[in-house]
Amino acid sequence: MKRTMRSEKYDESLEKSIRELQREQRHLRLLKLKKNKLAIIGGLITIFMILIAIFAPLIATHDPYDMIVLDRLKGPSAAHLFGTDATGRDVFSRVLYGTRVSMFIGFSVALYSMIIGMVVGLFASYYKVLDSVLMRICDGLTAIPSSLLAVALMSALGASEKNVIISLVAVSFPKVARIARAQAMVVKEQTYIEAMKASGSGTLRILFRHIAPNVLSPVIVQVSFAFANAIITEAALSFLGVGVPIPQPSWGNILYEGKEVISKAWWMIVFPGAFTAAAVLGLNILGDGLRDLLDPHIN
Amino acid sequence: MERILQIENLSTSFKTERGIVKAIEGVSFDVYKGEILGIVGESGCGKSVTSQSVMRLYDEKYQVQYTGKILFNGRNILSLSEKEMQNVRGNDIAMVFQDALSALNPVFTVGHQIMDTLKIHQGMKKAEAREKAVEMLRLVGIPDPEKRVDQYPHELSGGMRQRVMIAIALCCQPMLLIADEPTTALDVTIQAQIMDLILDLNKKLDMGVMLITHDLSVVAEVCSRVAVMYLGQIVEEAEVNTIFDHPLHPYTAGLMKSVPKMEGERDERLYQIKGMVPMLNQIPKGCRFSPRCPYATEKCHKEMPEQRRVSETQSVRCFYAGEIDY
Repeated sequence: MKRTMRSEKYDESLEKSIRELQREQRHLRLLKLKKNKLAIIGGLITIFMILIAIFAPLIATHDPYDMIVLDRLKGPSAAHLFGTDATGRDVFSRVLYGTRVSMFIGFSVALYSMIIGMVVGLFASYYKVLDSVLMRICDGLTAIPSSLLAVALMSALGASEKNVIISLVAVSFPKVARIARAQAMVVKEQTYIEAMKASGSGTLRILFRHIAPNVLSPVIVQVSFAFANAIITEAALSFLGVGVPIPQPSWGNILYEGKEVISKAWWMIVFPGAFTAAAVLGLNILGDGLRDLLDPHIN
Repeated sequence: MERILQIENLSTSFKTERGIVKAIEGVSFDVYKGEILGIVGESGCGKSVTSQSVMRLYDEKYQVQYTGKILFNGRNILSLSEKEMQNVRGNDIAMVFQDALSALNPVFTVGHQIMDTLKIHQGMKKAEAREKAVEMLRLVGIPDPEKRVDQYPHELSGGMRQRVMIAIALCCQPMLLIADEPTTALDVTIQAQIMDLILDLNKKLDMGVMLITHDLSVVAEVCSRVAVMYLGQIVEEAEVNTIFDHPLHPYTAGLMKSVPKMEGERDERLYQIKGMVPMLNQIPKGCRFSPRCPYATEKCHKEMPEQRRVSETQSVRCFYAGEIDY
């Protein structure tokens, strides 16, 4: 009787110390995040951009398609914060709506390349025959400079938002696949995967329920870079006239239209350019920070 | 007694860059319901290969080739398809691995991992599986299972993790449990607890256990029968008392002599078996133990002895079994 009482007391104090330890761990993780100021700044910029994209219609002062011919090429003023373009459209509103297009394309590309890259990488790590086929396709896709390949794909598919996403995914998923494959090759040799096999799990279950979560962190880091790259390449495509079709605003489109009046209207280049730079910078910093946070080898 | 596993003349060979290497050859033994069969031998003698072959865990497309028969309840496991094999693994035959830390997936809670097996084999719904998971954790002696079920492997101690592994292995009530050195990674007190647990559950659930170990004291304590392996072959199989008191194979006798004893002269040197275990690609002709055997004759170096039965319960792979007095 006495003994059980003592052990209960012991259990209680053990429970307490476990809870304390967990609290401390959580605190440490938060501290590490705080120390990583750059990552927080990157995250804030990214969130800011996403908020602009979502609430663009509420913030915009004008209709981005509304041409007021009398106000052509006016500089920044209270009525037009970022000035107007050659057909009298409000640049501020166009940049906001452009944020929407660019962020949507960037996000979709990141999402789809993550899904496709994971599936390709996981299968390649598990089946030797598939490995040589899939990885050679990825090699081929990465061998061609990405903007060149995207331009070629766009001219084959035709200009539309959907096709921009398709060609950018084609450019960026091989990098994700390569990283997923490399990590999966390490994970699949772990005893717990063998133990899962010994408990009767099928191959697909092992791949997607047990290997995939262990592969996720390096993939997420790579995907945040893919997001940033997608934004740059989209801007480049639109600037070259093979991206998002023209009346629709995107950062690249506004730059393209500003190119012809660059000597008269600096605001048409500076503002969309600054937005593009800020978004890419934010995402890159965020990616770096995530890598520091998620990669156990650096700590 | 009911025979659940019957291995006949099993050979497992691996394809390597230097050609085909036979890791085990001509292995035959049985496991009966409710017994614990110990498989002992030095590192690299094929104990683990034997157990992994029973589960068919090797990559059959590129790596391995089996010959012989593994009859589980009369069905030859080696002729099953991968799909049928998945139904056997974890359900009829379960396995406990050596290192419990690396045998648990770090990104899932232990409860999740127990429930996973239940969902695959028993088709349980989440709530039901969770209840069963808690029950299993209680069965293997984990205190406060309702709380532990939601913890991650790194939050548990080594002994706890091995208990979780055992809970995963036993949750579908397998007929055969393969324990591949389940206590090697643990310290001595926890070793005793885990062995007691296996012994206890073996009695409670009446399953057959194949215990792979190189620890003779563990064998003496829990096993009912023992198979001794040397260089990919079983050299002697007998009941546990017979193995310790009247070994017939010179290798078994050597093993027994090289265990330190409590009584006897203090500064007496501990017996050791001469020589080294040869590499698998340099297997000696004739009896595999002959280069190290103090009793080897001309015949031993030339011919391979067959495994022969010397009594109801004992079989041995030696020409002179019973003629030599150890």
